[in-house]
Amino acid sequence: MRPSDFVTSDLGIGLGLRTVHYRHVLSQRPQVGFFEILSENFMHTGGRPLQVLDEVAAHYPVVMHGVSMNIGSVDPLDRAYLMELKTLQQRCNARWISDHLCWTGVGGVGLHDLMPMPYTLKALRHLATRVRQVQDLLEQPLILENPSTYIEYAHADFDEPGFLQALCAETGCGLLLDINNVFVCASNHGFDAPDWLRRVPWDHVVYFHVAGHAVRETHRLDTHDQPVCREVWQLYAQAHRLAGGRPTVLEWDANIPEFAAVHREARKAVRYQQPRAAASRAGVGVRA
Amino acid sequence: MNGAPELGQLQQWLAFVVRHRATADVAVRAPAARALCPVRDVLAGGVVAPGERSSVTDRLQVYNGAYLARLCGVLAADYPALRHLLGSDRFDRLCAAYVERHPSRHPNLNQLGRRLPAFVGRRRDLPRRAFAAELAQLECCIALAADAPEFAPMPGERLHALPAGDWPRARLQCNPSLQLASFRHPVNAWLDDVLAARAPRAPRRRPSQVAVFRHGSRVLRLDLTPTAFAVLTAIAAGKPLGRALAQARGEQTVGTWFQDWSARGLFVGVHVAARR
Repeated sequence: MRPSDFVTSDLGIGLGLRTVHYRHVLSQRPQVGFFEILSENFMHTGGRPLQVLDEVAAHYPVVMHGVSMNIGSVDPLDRAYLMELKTLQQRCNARWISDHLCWTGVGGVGLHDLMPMPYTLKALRHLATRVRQVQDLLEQPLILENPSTYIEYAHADFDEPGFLQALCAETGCGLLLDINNVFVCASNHGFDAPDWLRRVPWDHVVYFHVAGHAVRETHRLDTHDQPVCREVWQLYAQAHRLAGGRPTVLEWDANIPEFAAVHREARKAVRYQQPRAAASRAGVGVRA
Repeated sequence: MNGAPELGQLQQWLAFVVRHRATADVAVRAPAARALCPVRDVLAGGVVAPGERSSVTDRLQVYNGAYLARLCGVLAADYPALRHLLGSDRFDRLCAAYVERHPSRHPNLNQLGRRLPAFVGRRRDLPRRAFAAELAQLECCIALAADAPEFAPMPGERLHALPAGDWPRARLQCNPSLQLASFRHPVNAWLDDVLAARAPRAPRRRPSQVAVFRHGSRVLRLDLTPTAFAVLTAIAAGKPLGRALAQARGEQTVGTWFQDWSARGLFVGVHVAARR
């Protein structure tokens, strides 16, 4: 299966499935294009989460999004974890499996944070080898998300879009393009977000994330705790136009309001998918 | 530093800085960090580039600060009553010490707190340490029951249908979520008070026994008499009912116990050994 096979599956607007909404989703069956699950929430447990997942998967398309693959680490790949991912995918018939382009631990210790990769040739080779190994094991393209970052390494052979292009070309992996993360990174590191978007390898982009973030004194923080800001929606409009449409998931992970409010926020995406809106609203520069 | 550090070296250095209990500014100067990346290079922006509005260590602090906050948050979610007992400041300090001693080594954060009860039991600096350790053990039982493997409870009729002559040789298989714990304090009642937002009574010594298990999608806590606890412990250990019930001779309510346990899905199977 190639990333382009995923791209054809237009699932529309999806939501991250969160515990506080379980009851509403199961009892009301809201009209949602698909649900994205946090893979680890349904692993190493046999309790309520799996019962909920079974029911959700019976009524909605599901995609899997993880945070612990540790794809960029120098530690060996956790094959047991990968096999459990595959088992979970079979159980909920998930359309695809995604994680983050980052490392999350080293020396056997997990940081449970999305630590940035250096964009060097050596790191690219390391990452490409591991992505291929994961894809062989999962028997499908892996989809990787651009994370929000708060540091940049002093040494780099690529910028982020260049690194993504090279990784996709070498491995055939897919991309989950998080528009909020692009905006947050552009603000934190002082690059031009619309220009960044123009250099994305669009053939590999499988779906989009949008989310809210917080503004701190010296940086923006990817908090997923509030509505999507206008600038991110405008970037989304540009991305949607450049991609020619992709499924989109709204992530809301802290200070989560009632389901209707989250659903309403996600449906704003439709407004920004209109060609006129995209054309007139695109091109908002972000500078630190 | 000449050129980029090796990826492994970079990751080990950054992991050390992120996990350091003090700030990133202190962490980069620690001997273990300096051995990986010289502090002069680090502060000069030779490893991580400074930002327009922030220094290298300011930028690293974003990750350093988030690490403890995230892990303390996970432990606070699993141990709300322990946090209530200790107060949030002392609980946060306990968590910081705990994750330093027992960092996460599992992809799933629901495993993080599994060693906390024993850790609490060893902390001489904690007030009401014995009570706190037992409370932590009870909350750990809840987490274990919640995450136990899936199971299908045995229909109660199967137990009813068991011929009387087979009972002494029958071994009941308990559902895999069952956690049995005996305490020197009434921690279950204390937990009830905390969860109901009632002012909990002052911890006092009074032995108690509790079964924690999943029923449907809910985790239940059942106070047991010492005899019922002994019987259920023997059953869970795989002893035949004849031997398990020997501990309840003269007890009038045994039948009620079994009806109740069975109705709550505590058993998933029964095996009767063939007669010799």
